[in-house]
Amino acid sequence: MQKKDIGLGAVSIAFGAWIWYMAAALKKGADFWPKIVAGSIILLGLIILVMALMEVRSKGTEGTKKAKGNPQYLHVMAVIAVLIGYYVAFQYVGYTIPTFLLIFLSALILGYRNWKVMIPTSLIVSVGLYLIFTHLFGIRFPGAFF
Amino acid sequence: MKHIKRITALLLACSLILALAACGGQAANTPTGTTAGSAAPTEAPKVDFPTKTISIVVPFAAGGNVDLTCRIIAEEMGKVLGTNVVVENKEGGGAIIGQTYALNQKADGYTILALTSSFVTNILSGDTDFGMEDATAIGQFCFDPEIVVASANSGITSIEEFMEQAKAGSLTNSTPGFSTSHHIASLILANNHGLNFDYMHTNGSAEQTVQLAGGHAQVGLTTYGGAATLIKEGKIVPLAVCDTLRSPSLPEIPTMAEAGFDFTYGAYRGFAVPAGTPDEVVAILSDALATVMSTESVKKGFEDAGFPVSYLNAADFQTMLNDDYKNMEAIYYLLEE
Amino acid sequence: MMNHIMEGFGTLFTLWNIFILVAGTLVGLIIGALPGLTGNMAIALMVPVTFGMDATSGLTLLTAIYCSSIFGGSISAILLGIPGTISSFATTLDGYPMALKGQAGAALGNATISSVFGGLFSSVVLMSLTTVLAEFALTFGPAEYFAVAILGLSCIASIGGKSLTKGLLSGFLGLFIACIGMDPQLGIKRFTFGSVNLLGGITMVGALIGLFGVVSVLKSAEKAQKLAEKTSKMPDVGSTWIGWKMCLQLLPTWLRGSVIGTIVGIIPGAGTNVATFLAYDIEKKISKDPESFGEGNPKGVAAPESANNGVTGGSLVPLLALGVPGNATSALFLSALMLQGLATGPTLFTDHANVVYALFLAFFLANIIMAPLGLFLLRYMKTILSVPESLLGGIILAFCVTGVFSISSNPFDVLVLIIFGVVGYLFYKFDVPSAPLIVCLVLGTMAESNLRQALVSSGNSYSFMWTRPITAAVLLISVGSFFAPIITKMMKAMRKRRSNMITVDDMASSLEEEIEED
Repeated sequence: MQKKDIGLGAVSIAFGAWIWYMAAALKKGADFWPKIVAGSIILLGLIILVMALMEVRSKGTEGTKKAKGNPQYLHVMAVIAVLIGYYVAFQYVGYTIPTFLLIFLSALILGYRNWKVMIPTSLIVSVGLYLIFTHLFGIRFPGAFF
Repeated sequence: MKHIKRITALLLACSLILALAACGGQAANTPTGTTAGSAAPTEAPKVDFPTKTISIVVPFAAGGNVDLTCRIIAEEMGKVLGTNVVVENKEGGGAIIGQTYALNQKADGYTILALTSSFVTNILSGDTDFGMEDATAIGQFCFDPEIVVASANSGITSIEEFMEQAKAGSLTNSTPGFSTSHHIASLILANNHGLNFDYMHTNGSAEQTVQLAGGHAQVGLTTYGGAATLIKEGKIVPLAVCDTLRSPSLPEIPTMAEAGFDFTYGAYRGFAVPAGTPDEVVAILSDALATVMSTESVKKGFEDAGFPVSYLNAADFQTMLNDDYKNMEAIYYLLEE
Repeated sequence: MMNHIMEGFGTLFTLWNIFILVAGTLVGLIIGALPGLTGNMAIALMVPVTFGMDATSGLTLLTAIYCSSIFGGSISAILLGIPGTISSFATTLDGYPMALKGQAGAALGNATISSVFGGLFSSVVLMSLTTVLAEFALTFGPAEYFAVAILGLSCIASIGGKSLTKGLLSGFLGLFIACIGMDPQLGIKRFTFGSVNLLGGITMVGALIGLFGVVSVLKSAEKAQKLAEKTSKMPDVGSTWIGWKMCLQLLPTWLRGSVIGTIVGIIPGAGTNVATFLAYDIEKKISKDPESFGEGNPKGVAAPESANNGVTGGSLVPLLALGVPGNATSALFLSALMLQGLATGPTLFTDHANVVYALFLAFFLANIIMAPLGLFLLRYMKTILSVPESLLGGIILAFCVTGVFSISSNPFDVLVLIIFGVVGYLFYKFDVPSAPLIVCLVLGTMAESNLRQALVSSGNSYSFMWTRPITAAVLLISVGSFFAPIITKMMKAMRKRRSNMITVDDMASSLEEEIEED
C-alpha cells in the first residue's frame, strides 16, 4: 500500500513539474490556469508521498496482505496489445475483419473456450455493427476492405 | 428484438436515402500529400459520372449551420445527379481534420469538401499539410454577411456611436470563439478603422448571443440567423450590415458603405474537391450545384432557416477564395499578436 | 392556455403522429443504450428528414428521441457500469453497484421512473413558465458561468471515494487534460505536441468510455483464470417495479433532481452534465447515510436520472422564448424549427400556438410512453447479464470502439479510448478514483474560459466574485459544498482522538487515515 503511494506521489510530482515546465513556455494569460493545475498536482503528490513515508516509518513496510488471487498482468497486457493492434488494423484493413478478431481474441484471452459460441458471436456482432453503423447512421469506416 | 429492429428500420427508411452508402465502392485512404489526380482529363470527352455514392465531408459537428445547409443540398443534389449524396461529419481540430481527410481522398469527384472561410485561416495558421493549391472549387452556395450589433444595455444605437466608442477603446466585443469568422471580421474592422476592442471569446454562437442580449458584453459581429429572435425582441440592436447591399431580413439597417465606412465581410460556404479531379467531373458537379440552388425546395429551405442563397460558379468561387487568401495573409499577424 | 392545449391535442393526435412518438421513443432508447452513441447523433440525422414532414410530426419525432435517448444511457450504465454518455455517468456511481448486488432490476426500474418524473416535471415547467423563465437565462454572464462551473467542480471532494488527496489528484489531472487544445482566449496551442487531432481537445466521450468500458474489460482480464472456471448462469436481477413505498421514499429526491435539472437546463451552455453532478452531490450531502452512496444507494440513481431528464424540458425554455439553444441537442431543435419556417420568440406562442402546444404535449407523452417501453425493453436487455463475462468483454470492446469512432469518424478517438483505458487501469491499481477526473474534464474548460472572459469584462479585477450577487452566492455555496465533507471527517477524527494530545501534523495524518479507512 505505502510502497505504491510512494511511487504515485513521486510520479505526480514529476508530472506536475513537467506541466509547469511546459506551461512556463506559454504566452502570459494562457499559462495561468495550467500553472494552477500543475502546482496543485505537485502539492498533492507531495502530500501523498509524505503520508506514505510517514506510514512506512511508523509501521514498517510489511504492508497489507496480498489480495486474493494474483492479478494476471499478462492477460491485461494482451488485451491492451489486441486493442492497439485493432487501432492500426481497422484504419488499413477495414472494419469487419479486425472487429471480428477483436471480439474473438478478447474472448480467448479472457478464458472463454466454447468455440461453437465464440465464432458465431464474433461474426454476428461484427457484421451486425457494421450494417447498423453504415446503413442507419451513415458512418463510413476507413480501410481497404469493408 | 427483431420486431423492434423492424420498427426502427421503417422509421429510418427516409434517412436511408441519405445513409445507404454503397458497401464496396469506398475510396481508399491515399497517403498524405498525394493529391495529384490519377485520371488524365484528356482521355475521354464524356465521363460516366457519377456511378456511385458521393459524400460531402462536413468538417464540423452535425446540426451546425454548415451541416444543415449541406444536408438541405445533399438531398436535392442526389436527385439532380441520379445518385446518393450523403453527408459525413468529421469535426475537430478547428475543421483541419475533416479538411485534411477530404483533400486526401481520391480525386475522382466522389468526395466533396464543404469549404468555409476556416479553410483559408487554417492554411495560414501553418497547422495543415495542405495548401490552397490542393483544393479545386466547385461553387459557392451561401454568403452570410456579418452584421455589427450592440447589446441594448450598451445604449449604442447607431454605427456612428459604435465607431466613436470603439475608437476610444472601451468596448467589450463578444465572439463565438477565437479565430472564428466573427472574430476575424472584428479584427479586420478594427485594423482598418483604428478601433480597439476587449475580446471575450465564448464557446459558440449561442453563448455569444446570450452575452450580448444579457448585456454582459457590449458589442459584437454576428450573422443574422443566430441572433434573429433577440434582434426582434429588441435585446440586440443591429447597427450595420457588412455587405454591398442591405440585408432583406433587415431592410432598415444601413450597409457599412452607406454609413461611410468601407468594410465588407461575411461567412461563405461552398464546395471543393481534391485538386486533380478531372475537369469534366468538376463541371458536372458545378452544374449540379447551380441547378440545386435554383430549385424551389432548396431556396425555401435556405430562406426558412435564415441562410441567404448566393451562388457563385467554380471559377468565381476560386477567384474569391484566392482573394480571401491574399486579404487574410495581409492581416493574419493580427491573430498571432 | 387551456384552449391552446386542446388545440395542441387536436394537432398531435393523428395515427401517424402517435406512431412517430412510439417509434421515436424506441429508437432513442436503443441509441442511448449503445455506448458512445448519443441522441444528438440520431437527432442530427433526423433533422433533414423532418424537413419533409409537417412541423408537428417533425418536432414530435425529435422530442421522442431526445427524451428517451437520455434515459437510454442509464441502461448500459447500470448493467455494465459503462456510461454511454456523460449525462449518464453519475448514474453509474450507484447504479452499477446496485446491479452487482443483484438489484439490477430495481436499479433499472428506479432509473426509468426517475427519468419519467424528471421529464414530466420539466415538461410542465416548459408548458407553464417558459416566457417567465427565459429572462433568467440572460442574467448569466461569464462570472455566473464560472461560478456554476466551480459549483460543479466542488463535488469532487465528495465523489472522490475514500482518499481525499487521491480524489483531488484525479480531479486536477482532469483539469490538466481539459487544458489540452486551443487556449480559449488567445488561440494558442497548449500541450498539443504538434498534433492536429489535439487542437480541439480530448474527445470527452472517448475518455469517459475508455475509463469505464475498457477498464471493465481489463479488470476481467486480470482474473481471466477464475472467469474460465466460473460457470455462467443468469444472475438474479429482481423485479423492475420498485414498489409504491420506494416511490414515496424517492419522491423528495426526484423533486430536488428535477428542479436542479430544469434550472440548470435553462442556463444556456451549462448542460446536462452539471445537473447530474449537482443532483448526485446534493443528495449525498443531505443524506443521513452518505457512506452508502457509491455502494448502491437507490437515491444515487434517482437523483441524476431525474436531473438529466429535467434538463430536456429546461433546455427548450430559452430556445423557444429567445431563440438561444440551451445545449447541443436543442440547437438541433432550432435547426428543425428554422427549416419549418417557424421563428422562435414570443410570436411563436401566438402565431403557431397549435404547434408549440403540440410540442409540449409530445414532450409530456414521450415521457409517459417511455416508462412502459423502457420497462418492456429492459426485460430483454437485462439478459446481457447472463452472457459470461469472458465472452462479454470482447463484445463490450467492439461496441466501445465503434461507438467512439462514430462520434466524429476520427480514428484518433479510438486511440484516446485505448489510452484512457490504460490510464483508468493504472488509476484502479493505485487506488485513484476516476470519477473526479471525468467531472473536471467536463467542467475544466467552462471554468477557465469563463473566468478569463469575466476578467476581460471586469478589467482584470477579481472583484466580480463578490460584487455580483449570483456569482457571490454560488461561489459561497461551492466553498461550503467543497469543505463540508472534509470538515465532517475532521470533526470525527478530532472526536476520536480527543483524549490524546493533538499536533497539527497528527491531525492531518489522522484525517488522511480516517478517510482512507472509511
